[in-house]
Amino acid sequence: MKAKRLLTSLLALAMIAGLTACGGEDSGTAEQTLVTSLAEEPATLDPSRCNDVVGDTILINVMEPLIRIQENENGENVPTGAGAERWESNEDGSVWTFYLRDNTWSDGEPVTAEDYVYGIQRILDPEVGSPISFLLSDCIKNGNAVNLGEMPVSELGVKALDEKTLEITLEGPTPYFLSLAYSKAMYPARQDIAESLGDTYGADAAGLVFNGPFVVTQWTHNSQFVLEKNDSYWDKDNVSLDSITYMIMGDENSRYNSFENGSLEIVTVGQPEWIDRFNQKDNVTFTEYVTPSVRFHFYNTQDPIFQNENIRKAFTLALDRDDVVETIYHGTMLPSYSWVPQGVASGETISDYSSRGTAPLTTLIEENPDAKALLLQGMEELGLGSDPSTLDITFSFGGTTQWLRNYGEYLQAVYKEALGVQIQLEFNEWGTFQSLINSGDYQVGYQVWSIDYNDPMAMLSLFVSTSSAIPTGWSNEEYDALVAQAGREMDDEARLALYQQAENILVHDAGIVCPVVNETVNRFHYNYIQNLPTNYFSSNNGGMKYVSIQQDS
Amino acid sequence: MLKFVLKRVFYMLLTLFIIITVTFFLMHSIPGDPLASMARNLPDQTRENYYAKYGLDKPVWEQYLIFMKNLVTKGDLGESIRYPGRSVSDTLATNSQVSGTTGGLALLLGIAIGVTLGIIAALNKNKWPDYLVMFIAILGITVPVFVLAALLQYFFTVQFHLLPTTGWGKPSNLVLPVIVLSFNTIATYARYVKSNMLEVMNQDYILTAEAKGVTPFNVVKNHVLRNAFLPCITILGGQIASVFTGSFIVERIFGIPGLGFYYISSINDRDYTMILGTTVFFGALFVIAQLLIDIVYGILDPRMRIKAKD
Amino acid sequence: MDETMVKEPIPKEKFQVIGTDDFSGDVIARPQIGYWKDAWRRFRENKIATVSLVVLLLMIIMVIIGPYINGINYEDIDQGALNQAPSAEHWFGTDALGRDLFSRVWQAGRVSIAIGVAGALISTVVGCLYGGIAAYFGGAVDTILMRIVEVLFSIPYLLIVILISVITDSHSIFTLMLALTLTGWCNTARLVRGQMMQLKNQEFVLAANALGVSPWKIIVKHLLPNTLGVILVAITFDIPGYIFSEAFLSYLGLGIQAPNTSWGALASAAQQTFAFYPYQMFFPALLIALTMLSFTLLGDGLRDALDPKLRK
Repeated sequence: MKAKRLLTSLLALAMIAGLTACGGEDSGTAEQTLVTSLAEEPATLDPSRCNDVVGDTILINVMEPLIRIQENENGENVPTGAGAERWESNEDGSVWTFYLRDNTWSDGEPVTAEDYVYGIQRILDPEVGSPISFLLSDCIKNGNAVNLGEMPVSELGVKALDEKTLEITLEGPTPYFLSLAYSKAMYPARQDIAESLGDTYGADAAGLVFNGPFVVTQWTHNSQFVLEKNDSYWDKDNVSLDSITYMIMGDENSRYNSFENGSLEIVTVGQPEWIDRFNQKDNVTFTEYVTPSVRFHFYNTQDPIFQNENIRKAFTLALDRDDVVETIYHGTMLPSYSWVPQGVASGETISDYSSRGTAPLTTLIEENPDAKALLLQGMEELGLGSDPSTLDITFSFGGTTQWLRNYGEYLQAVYKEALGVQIQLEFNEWGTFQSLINSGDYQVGYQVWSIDYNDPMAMLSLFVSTSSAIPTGWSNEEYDALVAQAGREMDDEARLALYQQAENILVHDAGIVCPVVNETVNRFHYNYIQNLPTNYFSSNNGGMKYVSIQQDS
Repeated sequence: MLKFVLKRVFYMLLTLFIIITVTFFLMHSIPGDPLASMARNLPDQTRENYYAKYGLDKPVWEQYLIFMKNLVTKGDLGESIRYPGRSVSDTLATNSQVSGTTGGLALLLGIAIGVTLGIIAALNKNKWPDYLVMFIAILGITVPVFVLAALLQYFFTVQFHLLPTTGWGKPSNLVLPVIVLSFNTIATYARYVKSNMLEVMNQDYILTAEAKGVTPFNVVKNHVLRNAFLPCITILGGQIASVFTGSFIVERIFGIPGLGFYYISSINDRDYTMILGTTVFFGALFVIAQLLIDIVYGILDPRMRIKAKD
Repeated sequence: MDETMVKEPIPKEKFQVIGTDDFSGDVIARPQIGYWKDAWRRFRENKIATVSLVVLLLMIIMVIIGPYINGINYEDIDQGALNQAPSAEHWFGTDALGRDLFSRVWQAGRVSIAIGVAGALISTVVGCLYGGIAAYFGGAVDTILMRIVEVLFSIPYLLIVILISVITDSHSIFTLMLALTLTGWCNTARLVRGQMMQLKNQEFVLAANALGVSPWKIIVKHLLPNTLGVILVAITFDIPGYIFSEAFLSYLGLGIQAPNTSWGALASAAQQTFAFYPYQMFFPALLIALTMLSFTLLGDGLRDALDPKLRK
């Protein structure tokens, strides 16, 4: 164990020595190093089994997807060739061909189309048990059959035509496929490495190979990651940073303290007090952007009380979203009136879906000024009498943080005042919460959903009858049909109309979900850090590739 | 003596066996399971395959037999479910070193200061040094750890820029966590040593010693301390095990990759193999510590040696 | 029987009453003082201990009436008064949801004091008897009892807490107390046992044994009073120990359920922003410290009063 660690540190030293030796022409410039943080330890670096934000953060910097998002000078997102030099689709958008550029893995092997094929196969291979298989299973040809073990992985609609040409055949025309191509589901993987490491693939940095802008040179579990520039990366001339250190810091205050004294150089802040304090520092820059994540309540439609849509709507309407933003978030989040969050593109011509049309919840609020009347009506329909205080209602939360408990207590007070209902609160760890809602053992749940790829489909497909992502027990044929139809509609405007109809059924007609707020990121960084991405998708897909440290003048 | 130790080793194994068994069935009887959140988006068939992969589809008693068989025949604690591919025993070995370093230093520092303070307080009963020590001792246990850690971190790393905020690997990373962890120990030992010394100092044999003309220093050294230390040893026995299992809150605040994190998070994540691993580890340390204490009791207190023989 | 032993009886008339001497010199003029009365007298002489007792009584009174004094309900959320510093209206300030901290702090005290005191009492009684029995009987009894303690001590108590709240389906104060005390007494038991092992070979125990005193009486009347010092220290550690265990459980979401609250929950709620609103942390921490201090000093006073050996 010790010898191994010694070896890694020697290797790291050698690499640093090598870097400084060949970086001779950079002499006199600022040191290109960056220290930032992760909120927790990633479960694994195996892209097919990674299911946490922190893992994604590391992976985007060390792996090369087919496409990366790059911001143009106006801050707009432009899909840019990364692992693929260019790509094309057939006429109806059901077969896509990617022409790969010359790139090498960090051990010197060339990156081939087979590597991308193997990466996608792993996501759908039932033996691997990828938690993100749902992203691809409906869309790639034979995806579901392979994922269920009914067909061998070789039957999957993913083929290497030659060393550098990748062909992906879909179940049918899929307008949002390109946004999947830059999601986490399409990283390449090396079959020889994955097979030789077996179950330990991704559990440690040792033995892994990378083809992105950086490589992981050190992973001390629960402590830190050290990433160093990858010299075999195709675009290494455009990579400025020599190393990035990700400190794993679970405690929020520790992160703020570290940023305050300069030992962390980038920090995202959730506390308004700290935002005010950092705003007073003169050598830092503040960036605020919307993340397409929605914080919402959802109702169990199989519950004796919440089977009634008027009661569901009453609970949705009783919440004053502006007040939530003020009291709970101190103005750091945005009120949400629709299921699809802000900042989601719908095809190439519609950059923000939410900017089109009226949000379904806004309409619902206008139609029903009195939430309590709606509740009483619902109670009458169920024969529950007319005294809301007799209702026995529990809200379930998938977490136990102080913040969440505060929020729960806020809800208690709000519902007591607005509806006269005394709600109970139940806090469980995430895993337990998931078990409870999966087995339908809840009434109202609270959750956050961050979009998986840049299209309203990623949100709306969660409520079709076959999805178990948010188990409300609700199914609606018209909704299913609309979503299915939108998934094949190649015209952006026509698709938008279908999405809007479906969303209206979900939020306005049936009242299954109660969107509360859209998340925003409040980020500070020291001024000498340049070219940090300024929006959600470019951060997630650009990573630190283009970031640099300003030279001292 | 050998017979005594052999007998105790047998009891230790028996105790460990019971600990494992009880924990195993306890953790399977609480709601939630390790794969619930990973498998939430999977179709039913895939989800079943997933559970089968970890043997979680089998009846609980069968899982128990498999676990025990691997443990007894191969000494294998299995692989973490939450962190796929990581061996539980490796995690225990690596992280307990970290916790052991911080916790061990804190324990030594705490005992050294605590015992000194306790002796000072006892010898100056109801005078100002006594009150000062009591004040420190009370401060040490009434200030919640997270408050103390946050305060020290704020002042030493943000205000004075003296020490690193978080991290692991440099000696300077150790300073704050060791201080924070030692507070409780200081308080504990100061209080117990003082209380016991007062009691011992009133015993007849001390009077005898004083009457014989033994110098006050030698009375304290040879007679008082030796007897006053016994309860401290009992406490030490509970602490030795905790040293290696670390402190969840302190580790979190100072970014220390210790075992305390796994001790709590494995239960939160329902990471079955890791729960058993940490429990076996703590249990083994604890029963060994108990054995050592009983032996030390015998050495420190000659009156009890007779008992140890049977 | 030896015949020489039989003596002639002494005739009654050889005895006569000659009157009594004056015993007035031996008359106990002052009232008789029993052990408890004496202890109480000694206790009152100890000013520090008396003050602590008064402080504790005041705390208990405040915990009962405190939440009603300023007329603001402890669960009322006031959006217009978030995170306010102490003022004429909100004496201890307000929290992140604009709730009055004065009312909250006393409401929280109910839970914390109840859990601290009840927990310490239960673990002391159980721990003393358990440890006493183990130490007195020794041998097989000791071995079995101490192995049980090892098992209980080693099983992760979070599992037990979760299990109990699942079985009883509640997070009430009683469930919490049950969960916390179920394994909480182990430490006291180990301590008492260690101490008694040392005592049980002393001469007075041997004497009691020889006189045929029952083991129960020996443990309760002779051994326990001699371990009083250690026990009292253990109690004074147990009280904040239980208060913080509850706080840690609150931190993990297993503690007292909202809208009810506790000192530990208040303190951990204040932790994130204590650099900005130190008073939110200060008041609950102060009350925890005050409670703890009073109990400690009271404990010391009690020991001095109850233990005749320490009288000087």
